[in-house]
Amino acid sequence: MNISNHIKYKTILGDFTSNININFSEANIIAITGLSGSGKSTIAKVICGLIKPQNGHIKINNKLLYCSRNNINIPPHKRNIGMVFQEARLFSHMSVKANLLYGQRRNSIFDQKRFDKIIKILGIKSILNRDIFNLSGGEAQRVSIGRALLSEPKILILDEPLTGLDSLRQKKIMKIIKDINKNLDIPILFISHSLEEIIFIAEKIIIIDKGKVAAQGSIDQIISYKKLSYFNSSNTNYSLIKGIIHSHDKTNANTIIDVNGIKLITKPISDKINSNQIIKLFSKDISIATKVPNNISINNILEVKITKIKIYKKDGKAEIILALGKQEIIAEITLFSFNKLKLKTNLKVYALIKAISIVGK
Amino acid sequence: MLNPIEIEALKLSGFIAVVAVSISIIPGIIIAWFISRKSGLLSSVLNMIVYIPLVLPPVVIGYLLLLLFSNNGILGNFLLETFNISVNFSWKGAAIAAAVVSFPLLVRSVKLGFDTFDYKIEEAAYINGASKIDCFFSIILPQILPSIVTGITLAFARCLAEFGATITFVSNIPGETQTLPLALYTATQIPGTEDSAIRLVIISIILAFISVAIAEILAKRTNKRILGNRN
Repeated sequence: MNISNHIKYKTILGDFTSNININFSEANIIAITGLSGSGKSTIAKVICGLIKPQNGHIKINNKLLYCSRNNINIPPHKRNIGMVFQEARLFSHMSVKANLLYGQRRNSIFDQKRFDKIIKILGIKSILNRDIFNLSGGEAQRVSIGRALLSEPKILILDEPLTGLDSLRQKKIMKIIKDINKNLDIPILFISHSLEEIIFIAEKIIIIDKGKVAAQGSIDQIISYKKLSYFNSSNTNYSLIKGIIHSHDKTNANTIIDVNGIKLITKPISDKINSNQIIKLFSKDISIATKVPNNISINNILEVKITKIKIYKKDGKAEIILALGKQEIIAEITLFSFNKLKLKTNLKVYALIKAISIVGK
Repeated sequence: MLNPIEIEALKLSGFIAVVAVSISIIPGIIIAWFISRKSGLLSSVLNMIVYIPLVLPPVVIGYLLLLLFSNNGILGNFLLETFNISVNFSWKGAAIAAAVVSFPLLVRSVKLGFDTFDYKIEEAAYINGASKIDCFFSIILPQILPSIVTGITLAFARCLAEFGATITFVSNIPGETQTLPLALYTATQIPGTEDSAIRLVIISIILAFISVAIAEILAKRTNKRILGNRN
């Protein structure tokens, strides 16, 4: 049977209106992202039944949880949804094990195999008998994920679960989330404001802006500058491009990445040849030259075409949008340089890329 | 060591306090929950009524109880007609007086527990499949246990110290309503019983120390169990 999940609602909270329409049928990881205040967390609360929308309908795993037309509104405790919040929200008067079994007891028959499997994925076997207040932030969050999973939910919603953890623990939990998805065959809604997190974790991305779905699709579809511009606040502009590993150069200790036929040299990456990579280029790390410069330490000097120019007179800067094959990157230069070089659209120039960072696959 | 009169007064004080607190706990928790969670006129009025015994002179409370529970009073008449119970001049009346006087202290601390309880934990319980009632018993009550324990110990201590409402409502009858403070009052009223009065004073002080110490130990223990070593 085809599994269908449909979330469509309108909700008004104070002067904020949210109008959401999301459809998905695959059991994979879907990231919901957007700036703070865009209404991402509201989606989680509406699905859980903590917020009752004005109208619409919520269908998870073919089951109607809310429908304004048929007057259906299943209470939160009967919705069978696994939810992990930014804070672990554990029950401090119970042990780790009792916390884990809280949802399980109320939703399903105890299955030792499943219990062991989840404990193993989460790596929390050694802390089962500990008290909640003796857990670290990362441990608490893993227990919280375990508690949600053991209630055998039809969907797992993670609302900014990595905020407040250090990057080492964030990476560990992101890996765990991928493992969960692979081993337990459960769709995961991963709500996050961090582009790095969602690129690492999700197969599908939904961008929410001002309470509406602004864009959605696979990472490939959404990677173009325009849609991701939601994340670019004025001083940390960057662009994301994708490429594949072309070769590893062992003598010079670097890796060559192919971006639509154009070769980029980066620090060595341990992945296999032909594996996909997502590259982040800060606009300030890209300079522009009209001729190929000689005797320069920069390795990545690419021939590109200017597709668009944005002038910011007040800040004395210009954003030059450059075509790199089918993809686009942005260079930020001073207005002074812009005038000196006499740049205009469709002009062929050289982009000098000073730093490259790999953010995902 | 203690003479029979002192033992009797001590036993009666303890017994009345235990009965008074026992009958207060459940209504105390319900009312505390109601005034903490609900807003509106009923909640505000209830809040005021509950706290009034805290500020009224105990003698006023005793007199009001006397009017309510006398055989012609509304409640007294009801109890007599339906259950054939009279609380006048009996330990039952003393327990009612102690319960009324100590009730605000119980409700105040339990309400504080409900006020400071993190509702987000409650949301987590709902999503994990707990109904509202289930959540109340499995999460909220255990989480606010330190406040309940504090409330109970405060109320218990207030019951032991109760004097004015009791003597006004159920008089001062040895073996029936004569608690420790009332026995001390009697001793101070009769010439030549100064020794006896001093002994009762010392017993009262020791009792106060013991009850405060027990309250502290209990509060620390429950706090540690619920909140860990943070406090």
